[in-house]
Amino acid sequence: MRTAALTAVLTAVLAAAPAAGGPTSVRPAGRVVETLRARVPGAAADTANGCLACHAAQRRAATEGVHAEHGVTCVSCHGGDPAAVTLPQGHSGHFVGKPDKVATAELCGSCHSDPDKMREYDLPTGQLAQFRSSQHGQLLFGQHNKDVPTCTDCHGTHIIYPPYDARSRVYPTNIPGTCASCHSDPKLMAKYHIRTDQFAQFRNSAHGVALFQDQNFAAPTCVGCHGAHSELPPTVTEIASVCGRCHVLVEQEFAKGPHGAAARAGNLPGCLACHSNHGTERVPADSISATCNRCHSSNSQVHQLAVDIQRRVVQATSDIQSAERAIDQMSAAGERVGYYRFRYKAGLTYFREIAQKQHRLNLDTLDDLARRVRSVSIDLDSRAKATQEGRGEHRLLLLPVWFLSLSAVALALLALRGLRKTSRDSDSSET
Amino acid sequence: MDTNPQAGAPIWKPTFGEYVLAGSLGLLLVGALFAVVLYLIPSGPLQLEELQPAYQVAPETSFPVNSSRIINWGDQVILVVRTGDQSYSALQGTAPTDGCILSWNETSLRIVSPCTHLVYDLRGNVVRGLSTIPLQRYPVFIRDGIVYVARP
Amino acid sequence: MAPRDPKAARQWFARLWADLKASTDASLLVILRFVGLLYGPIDTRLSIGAAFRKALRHRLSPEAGWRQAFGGIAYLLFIILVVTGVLLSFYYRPSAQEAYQSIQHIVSGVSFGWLMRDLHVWAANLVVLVALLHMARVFFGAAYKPPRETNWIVGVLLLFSVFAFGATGYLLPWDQWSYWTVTEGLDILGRTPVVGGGLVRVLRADPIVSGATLSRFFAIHVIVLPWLVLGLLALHFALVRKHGVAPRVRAHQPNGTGVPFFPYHFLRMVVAGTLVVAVALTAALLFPRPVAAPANPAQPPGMLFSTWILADVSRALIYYLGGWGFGAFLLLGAGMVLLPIFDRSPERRLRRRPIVAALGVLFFLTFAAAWGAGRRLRSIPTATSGELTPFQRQPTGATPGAPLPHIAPAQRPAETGSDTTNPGGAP
Repeated sequence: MRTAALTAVLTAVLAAAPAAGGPTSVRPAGRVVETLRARVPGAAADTANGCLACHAAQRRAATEGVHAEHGVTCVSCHGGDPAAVTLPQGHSGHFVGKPDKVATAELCGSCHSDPDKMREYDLPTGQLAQFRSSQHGQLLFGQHNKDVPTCTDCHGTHIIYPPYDARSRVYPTNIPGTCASCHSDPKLMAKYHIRTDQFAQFRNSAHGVALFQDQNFAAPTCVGCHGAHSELPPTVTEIASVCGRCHVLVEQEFAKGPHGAAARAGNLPGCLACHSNHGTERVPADSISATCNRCHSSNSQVHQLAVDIQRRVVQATSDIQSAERAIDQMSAAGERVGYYRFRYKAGLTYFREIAQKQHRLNLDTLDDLARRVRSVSIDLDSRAKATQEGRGEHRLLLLPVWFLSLSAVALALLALRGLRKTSRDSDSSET
Repeated sequence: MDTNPQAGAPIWKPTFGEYVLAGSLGLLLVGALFAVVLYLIPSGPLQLEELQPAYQVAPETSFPVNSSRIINWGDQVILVVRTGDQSYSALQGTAPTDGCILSWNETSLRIVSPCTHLVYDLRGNVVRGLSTIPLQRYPVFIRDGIVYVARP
Repeated sequence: MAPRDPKAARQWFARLWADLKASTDASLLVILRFVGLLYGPIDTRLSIGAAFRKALRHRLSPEAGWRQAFGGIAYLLFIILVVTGVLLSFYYRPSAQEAYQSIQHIVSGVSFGWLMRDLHVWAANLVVLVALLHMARVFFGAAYKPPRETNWIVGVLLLFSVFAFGATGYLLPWDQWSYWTVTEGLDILGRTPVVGGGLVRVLRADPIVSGATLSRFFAIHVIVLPWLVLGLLALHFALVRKHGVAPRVRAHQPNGTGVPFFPYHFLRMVVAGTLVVAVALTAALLFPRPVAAPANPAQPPGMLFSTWILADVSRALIYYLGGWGFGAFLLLGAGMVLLPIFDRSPERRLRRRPIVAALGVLFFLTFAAAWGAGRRLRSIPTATSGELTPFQRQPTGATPGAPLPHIAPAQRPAETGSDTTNPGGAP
């Protein structure tokens, strides 16, 4: 009885609504995917979206998420009759049901790859094409592999948040977790012989720490290096360019040096020769030559170069640290250190340049920079030493002070004793 | 020692030891006075340039067009660029991300960092690089042919 | 009109000097006596020279001996503090923007500036020590008994003034140690029941320690307290003169009628004074007070170093005995202060007044122990005023591998025969 009344109300409401329906597009492969654009102004109310009468779990999706805000409702993707609240009618009319992964990708693409539809939102339309070119896409479209993700696996099925919304699974700090939900699953990855330690390594890396702890979104997430929809691991010759998208100066210097030539020829995996791909560790200054020895034999010219480079980098590091200590010392002694801090900043600039320029593996440029750092640190160290010596000289004052004081005290005590003796003598002589 | 209580006579006649005692005490006192007098003589008043309203950069004539200077005003490093006969730009001279001292590239008319890939324009906006923090701008004025940088 | 030949010149100068002396009144010397620099009474009927010599010949009580040295040493240290303080104020700038740099200038840019500053700091520490030693001597020698109760109270007020001097002066360098030690101190003071809040409001003049606080502390340190101490000292000396030096506890025959101030007691003063000045100078030369980083109200330093006795003592007490222990110690101190009210019996021997002796020993020993403990304790300041919780930034890459929330692989729903899977539980 109640359902009958509800049906009557819904029919009445919908009769007043503008005519639903839109074009049906036909995919070249012969499959018919229907996109029903049921434009319901504003948030879809329950009364206009009868699907929710049974599918109550999806109720929030009717009002939350970017699709709901723009009038994309259940029927837009699933088809069916939004007016009906009982079963036979509900699933009538181009009802698609739960599309499989391939169908989902093409369903999403039916709008999101259509420039005419995306123009008003200024959204890019290349995602589906990129996805087809990616490893996930090749497996999905080529082999109908169900292990790979489709659009909804990363972006969400019903409530879809834009990537800049922190609730989205593709928000920068959430992306690694989203990728890791499959790529850290050993059983799943064992089938494809893919490692599962990337997420753990990434979390501990400089990029991971910058992303998760500092909330620094300049740091790359998985999609930053692998691509968001076109994900493929970079090839050997591509690695330097990928890292070089952000580490521009490093890549420029790298390309000018012997390692750059080797990487272009495919003999060297670019940056991965010394830094790991997900852990992205910095090579500590004192293990530079050990890193070189991973590939180069220890009695070669290259080894000598490695030792020289390491020596200069280690020396520069200790120089800049001693310069900083010198400034602290001078400041504690009360010197006004404004100018020295400026010199230190200049030295620090040269020191930071070393981190870039050393990738060229050229000793002359490195020498030049290390020498500049050294001159700054010598300057500051000598000033600090002069200050300390000045302070030390002050202690020389102790000598005359104690000499005079002790002699005065001794003489006064002697005089006192003399006085007491004479007074006793005079007392005894008086009595 | 004579402790003659008569009013007019000297109260005591010092022995040699007492002369020496007086001498050492006197030396200590003289030393203290010496220190105090040197302390009080002003050597040059304390000028706190970071509290001044402006900083003197250079005379106009020694500042060629399309050149730049780095100045250190208190604890701020400022890059001053002369872009034309009458136009100057003064910007924060250290990159906000890592503190490297920036330099002016005459050919590309941009401010670059030697340590990382950061490119700024003359308004201090980020043109290239992984930073969204612009550079602090400082006003520049010229008085009596000398270029000054004022507080932002 | 000066005559030509040397003999006539000398006679002219001698006559000039005699005339000057005759035109001066001996009551000028009363001022010196008022501030305790002259011991004997001034006979204003005489000329100034004769009055001076008569005052020097004044015979002190035979009880006066080395025991009484501590008071005089404390006074000498106070004079050193006044002199160095005035000299420092020639260069110090009491504003929040310039204070730190002016201290830097004093220490590194002015001849012997470092000496004046370090001497001032060390004399401040020593004066607290010596004043407490003086107090201990008076306490254990029962010199606070009638008729000397008022003098005891005046002495205790002087002690508090010395504490106030140190507390206000501690802020003036305006570096991180000064700023945060004073912030902590004021926060603790503010927790005193009833009066704490109002007192701290008046002292701090701002919700946080700022330039307004600096101005207030400078005024108190340089104007209010010196006048107060001058008055108290004059009263203290007058009372000692009136009631005389307290006799020794163990009855003994005093030798003779006492010796004149000059040369006997003067020589003793020379001995004590020279040694004190030498010790203070040595401390100042060997252990200079460093200049910490400039005060930063937003960021407490990693470690707080204090260079003042009371800061060490209070920190150790609070750390080891907690707030209640600190309060108990303060109560003990208050008991010491009000001692003459409670202990009015004429009994002066230590053995016969065990409670009082125990109190005294407890107080002074605790003080000494707390000072030693406080020097070894380094305090990490907590932001007791919630608004100043510092924002701790982890430097990038400094702690790789810091624990992050564990992200488990998503639950895979069981295969139901449909083509789709929905990992991640997206609604």
